[in-house]
Amino acid sequence: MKIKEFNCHKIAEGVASGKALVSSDDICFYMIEPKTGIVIEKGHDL
Amino acid sequence: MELTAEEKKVLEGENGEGAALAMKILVGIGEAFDASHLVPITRAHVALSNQEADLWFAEKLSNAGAKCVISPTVNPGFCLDFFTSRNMVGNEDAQLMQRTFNAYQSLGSRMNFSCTPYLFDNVPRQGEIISFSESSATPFVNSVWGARTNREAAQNALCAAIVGKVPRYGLLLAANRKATARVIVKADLKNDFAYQQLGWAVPKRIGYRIPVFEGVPSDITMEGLMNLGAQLNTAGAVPMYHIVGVTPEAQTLEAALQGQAPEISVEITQQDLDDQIEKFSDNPGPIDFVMFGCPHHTIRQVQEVAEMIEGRTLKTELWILTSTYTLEMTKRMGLFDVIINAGGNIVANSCPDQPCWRHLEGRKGATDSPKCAYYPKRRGINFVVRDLKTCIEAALKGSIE
Repeated sequence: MKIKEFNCHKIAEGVASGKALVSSDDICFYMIEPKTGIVIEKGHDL
Repeated sequence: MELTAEEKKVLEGENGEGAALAMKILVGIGEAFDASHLVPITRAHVALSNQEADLWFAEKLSNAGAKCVISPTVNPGFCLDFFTSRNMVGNEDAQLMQRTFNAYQSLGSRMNFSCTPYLFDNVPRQGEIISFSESSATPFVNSVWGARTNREAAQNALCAAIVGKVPRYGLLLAANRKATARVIVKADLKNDFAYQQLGWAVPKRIGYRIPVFEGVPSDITMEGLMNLGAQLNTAGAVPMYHIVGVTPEAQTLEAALQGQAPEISVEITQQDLDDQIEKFSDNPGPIDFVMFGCPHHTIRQVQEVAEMIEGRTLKTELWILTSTYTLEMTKRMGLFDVIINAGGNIVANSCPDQPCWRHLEGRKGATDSPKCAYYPKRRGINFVVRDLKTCIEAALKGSIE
């Protein structure tokens, strides 16, 4: 697995972890099915 | 980010749990954007969406006792009386709208349900620091009125309204408002629809830069400006634009560029505009309905529709979405009756991306707005996008070229 480190900003308290999903297109969360996470925007690379 | 003693007290809960949560979110945004401190706002507009997450957030704040210090105007959901009296929404959808209404009312909002507050009920002056969400509103207040807002989400605009402040970063600072992309328009901007095409064509070419347009006629209409901003900020994320000789911070090209060279320069031709139609439109053919009003149609646009359909009978459904103010004006002017007698509908407080359009799911319609075609796709509603006159002709004959 490729490891990359990023500098981050403090926004809110708490700790979370997960896999990164990388998109070459911009993401509009509005065009994602909330229940499935599937991107419904036509032609989107995800 | 530095907070004053008073702001720290709000964060610690002195003004209640709701205000503390709103402050916490604003501080988080400020930290994320490297803002140095908070500044007061004089206006806010919340792009209420009447969806589950929107309601969850508004109720969470309302239940925690939050009240807006700056009473914000709000976006449309759907007109509960209109759609329930015609049995067009089920109980669940009606309850969602009612709860959204109750939550925003209790937060102290101005319940105008309009996506064009910048024309009537929430109009800033040049230089005012404000917090405006809604994709057509943010560019309009920045570009046409010269007010200063960042590209806010509904949620942070609501937090800003509750606290009365925003983090100082981005477009609140004069230096960040300069144009960095020069856009030379060599196309015939012959009607308001041409600005829909222009707004859709530009973001892919300039990315996140602020454009300055040359070659836009100085008699551009308010509707043309609305369309341009709405599409720039839907096809891309462009919260501000300049038009040389038209917008307040662009009396000259040099002023818009703040004396610096643009990072890029692009030309938009007639072909570029014509090519957009295929990108945002479904294929032509028979249609079941025509929908206008994304952003809400103005009285001039409604007049144009009424003139074309007076005394005639529509073959398809016609829906014109507008503000409460414009709806009242259509009644005073006799336009309302013209539209109803032709078989059309005109309704206030409503948006194309709402659950009140379930009867249109899986069907094809026509509209004059690419933004109207973009969002309801997630509801399975498809649109052919053409200029207003072509859409009206299609409503009269039942199909569109």
